[in-house]
Amino acid sequence: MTGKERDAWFVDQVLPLEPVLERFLRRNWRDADEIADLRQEVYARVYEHAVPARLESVQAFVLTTARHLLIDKARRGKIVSIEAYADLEAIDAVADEIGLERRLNARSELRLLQAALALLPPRCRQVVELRKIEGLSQREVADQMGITEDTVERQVSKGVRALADAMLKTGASADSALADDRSSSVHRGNA
Amino acid sequence: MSPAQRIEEQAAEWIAIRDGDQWNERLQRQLDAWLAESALHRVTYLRLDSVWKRADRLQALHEAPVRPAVPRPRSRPWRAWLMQMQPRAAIASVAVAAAVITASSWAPGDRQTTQLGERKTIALPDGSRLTLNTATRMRTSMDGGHRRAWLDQGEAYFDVAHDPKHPFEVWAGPQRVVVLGTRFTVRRAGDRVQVAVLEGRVQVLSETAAPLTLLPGQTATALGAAPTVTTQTPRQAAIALGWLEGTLVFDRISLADAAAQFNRYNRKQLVMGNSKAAQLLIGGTFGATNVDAFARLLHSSFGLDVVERGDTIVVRSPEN
Repeated sequence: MTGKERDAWFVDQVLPLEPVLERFLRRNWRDADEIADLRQEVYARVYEHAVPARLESVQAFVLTTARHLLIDKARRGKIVSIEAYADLEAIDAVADEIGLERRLNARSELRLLQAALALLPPRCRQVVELRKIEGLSQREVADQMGITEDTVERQVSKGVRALADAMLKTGASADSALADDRSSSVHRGNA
Repeated sequence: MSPAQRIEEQAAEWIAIRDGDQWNERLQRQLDAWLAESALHRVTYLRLDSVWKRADRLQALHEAPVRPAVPRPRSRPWRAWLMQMQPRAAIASVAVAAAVITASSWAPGDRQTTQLGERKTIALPDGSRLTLNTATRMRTSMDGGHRRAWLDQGEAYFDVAHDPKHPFEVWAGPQRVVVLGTRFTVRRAGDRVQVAVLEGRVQVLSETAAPLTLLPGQTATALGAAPTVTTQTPRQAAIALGWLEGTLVFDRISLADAAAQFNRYNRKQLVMGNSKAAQLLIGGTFGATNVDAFARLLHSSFGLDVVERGDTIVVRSPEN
């Protein structure tokens, strides 16, 4: 698998599992401040060690990797906690179908984006809207808003991070967007 | 700030710089070097980059009206008739003037093609997304208030943005699919057309047969004449979509059928050497363009004889 293919596999197959991974980490690790770092570490390990052609379930692989990471960390931190070892949430290797069917339809995706956009601070939001909705270049955005290109760049940097957190972590709201969608009848999980 | 947070800040900065007007080769090399430094850099960047790309879909909110097209020169005879669509909950009742373009070399729309084994996703200005499978030729047109696609050959996955004022039409040979906003696939090989619905409802209009409404899970297959409809389980539907990720998913199918699927994506063609091999039942998930790995697996896991001759790979079950 080439680098480009691995990148595409990671974006298509692993990133959609972020809500599942977040839930798992939150339930099995006490320190909420460390969750984002743990998540990224899981991603790095998955990226490096997965053999995509041989994976039955990407979800199971990601959660197993997370589980091992937490055990490693617990050992090194000498945390005397039975939870860290024994009670780690059982990895539910239910169906890759969840991954494939989790693909949002065009309408839900647009709604998710709009919801994420609404959460941005005002100036940041305006920059993102001018770039993405109106299609202005960064220079044009700077001119229109009366700010420097540097500032525009900073707002894009803030914006992409905020959008990522809003969109990738809240798979829950995307799921309920799907559930509300009257025309959707795709079954999830235990069909 | 934790190390991971610092890396995320750096990745976001890279995305913001690349999003600007000053990007050049030197910066690209610097980015490549930073990405190569560690997997953590790379995954952090991929995560943010995928979101920034998804945000492109926001252009669907752009206020400008669908631009009316410059009227096309009508140099060919047209045959037109009115199709009345029955009122349904999910599909608004609209009288649509349908035109059939008789065999002509004038083909409207912007062309999209994929090579053998290639896969491509296109975002349309209305927010819809199409993914083209291997060896596919298509055209799309969003002019004059119409949303149209023509599938000349191959297979595509359609994720159509909801717009009751502008039904989305897919023309595939003698079949025409009309939707408002939904997800479905269309596959065409000459006159054989297959439409599979994943979400929403789809009307299949044929030149000769009565209009057909398909529900999620249903697939219509037509070879010139009236389509026949089959229903599949959600799991079967998900399996059939493996190609969107570049994989083929087999669930207890014959090796002959599996080989036929592989042969759509690869120059090297799998050939069954005897009926015993052809009838072998297999399952699993495989990279669609990696026919060599599949052949090796057939040898190592199933003990089949695998012989490569030029552009064919002949697979036989040893007689014993």
